[in-house]
Amino acid sequence: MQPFNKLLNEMKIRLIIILLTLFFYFGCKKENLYRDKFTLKASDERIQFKIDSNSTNLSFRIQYFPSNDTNYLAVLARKFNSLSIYNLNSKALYKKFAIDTKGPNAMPTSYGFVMKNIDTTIVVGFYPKMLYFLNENGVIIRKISYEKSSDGRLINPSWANLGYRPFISGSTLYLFPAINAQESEGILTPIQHKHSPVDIAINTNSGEIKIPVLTLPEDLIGKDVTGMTVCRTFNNNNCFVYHFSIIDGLYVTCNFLDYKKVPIETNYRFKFRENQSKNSSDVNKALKYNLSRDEIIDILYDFYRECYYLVVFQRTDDLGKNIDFRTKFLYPKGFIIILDKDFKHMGDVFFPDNTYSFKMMFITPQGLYISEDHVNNPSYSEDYMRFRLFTLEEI
Amino acid sequence: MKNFSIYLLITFFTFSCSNFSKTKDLKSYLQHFDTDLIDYKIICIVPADGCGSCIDRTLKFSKKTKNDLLLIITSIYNKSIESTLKLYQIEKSAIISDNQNLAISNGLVQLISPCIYLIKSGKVIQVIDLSNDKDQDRIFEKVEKHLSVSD
Repeated sequence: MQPFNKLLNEMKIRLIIILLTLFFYFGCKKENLYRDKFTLKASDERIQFKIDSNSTNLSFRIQYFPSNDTNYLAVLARKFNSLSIYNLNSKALYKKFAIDTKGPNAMPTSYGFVMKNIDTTIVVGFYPKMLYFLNENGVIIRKISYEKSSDGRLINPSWANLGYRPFISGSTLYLFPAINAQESEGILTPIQHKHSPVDIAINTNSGEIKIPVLTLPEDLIGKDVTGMTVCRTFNNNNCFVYHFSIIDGLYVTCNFLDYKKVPIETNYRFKFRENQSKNSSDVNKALKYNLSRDEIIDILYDFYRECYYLVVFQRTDDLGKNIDFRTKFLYPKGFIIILDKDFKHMGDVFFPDNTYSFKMMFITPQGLYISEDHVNNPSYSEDYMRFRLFTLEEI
Repeated sequence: MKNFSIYLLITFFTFSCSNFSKTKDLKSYLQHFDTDLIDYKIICIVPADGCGSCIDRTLKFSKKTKNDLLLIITSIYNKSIESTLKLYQIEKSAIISDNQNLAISNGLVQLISPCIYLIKSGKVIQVIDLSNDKDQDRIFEKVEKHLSVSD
């Protein structure tokens, strides 16, 4: 009997081990909260332009716009002080303006731009704080100073790029103000919060400048806002959707009086940046820290399919040695979260590494175009600008 | 007194080791371009995509200094290097173009501002990182003084 008992005991032990393993496996396995119902499918459709020596295939200031049944893409190259307008139908350069920094047509420190229509471009200048209205030949025909709001408050705008891009709706131009809490070592105090607006609205006809009463979300009070970035978009209900890089969730306002906070429905586990002032004295440490955290760098609203694309700069956990910071920041590893018009999860879409340039994309009636000009893409060339069409497909 | 001597020795070794390591890193970096430290007193590494006002003075200084100075312009874009050369009217043959941005990935220069290496007998004796030190008058006075001293 003894060998049988021994065998029985061994079996019991094995069974316990198997059960424990299964328990830990299923206990630790992360369940996906949301089912991906849609994805972005790479189509065969590509747009490719040959670009000259004073044009770039990476710009954080681009705008798609249709005009007279033709689709256009405008690209500002700050390095080369030029604005190129491409005809997407004929896949050729339509027009190119020089953004002069000296002389009678000077627009120093052009921070961003908006094409009001094919004949009118508004360039956002920073020093001095001026809006320049250009005609179809790129000549300044009008200027509006935005140094002060109509009630006398000084205006300090933020970068007019990516998620900070200026919007125009009707005759109102919307800019994003800079956020500053240096006086309190980066911590947003209740007083600073009271004086931290989230919009500047400029009437491009009358020149009237309004700063709406809505300020940063109260959730930010007491937090270190050093290095905090913001991105926003507006939807077809004229509501603005914000994301503040150090807090989870989206903040939606339709009246600039209050927000509705909505969760970001994704299966990805974010690790956002926090307490960045502690790294501010050491540039390399700050850059490494930023790469090790996630950031939503842009929110795009797809008016044609009524959904949002949240573009995520995905963290890198193992940075290794000899980090090329410029490449890593200019061409981040990224993915896209698709949310429907009610902010419900539609899908998380991941892409192959070193293939797409996530800081350069635009939406047309056909779908989402994403730049293929990642500097590590084997087919990369500085002489071409290329986009791949992705279509929203049900899984 | 004894403690002070120990601190002094530690400081001395720290700085010697740091410069030794920089000499090694810079030497190995320059091998990519078939050149060596021994031929120069000053090496300026300028990120072409850095901020305009941060790189301006180093480029102007490098342009007017004909001897004993090596100017390296770094970027991931050839177009950036070319436009910088055009803007400052610098001959391409007079500089090294680092179009793979090796200087940044090897930690020899930061993203925004130039880094100046003072060399003596093929060894780095001082590193001036303009992103940490903003007093450009003092910096270029020191660089001029170093250039005027014979080895």
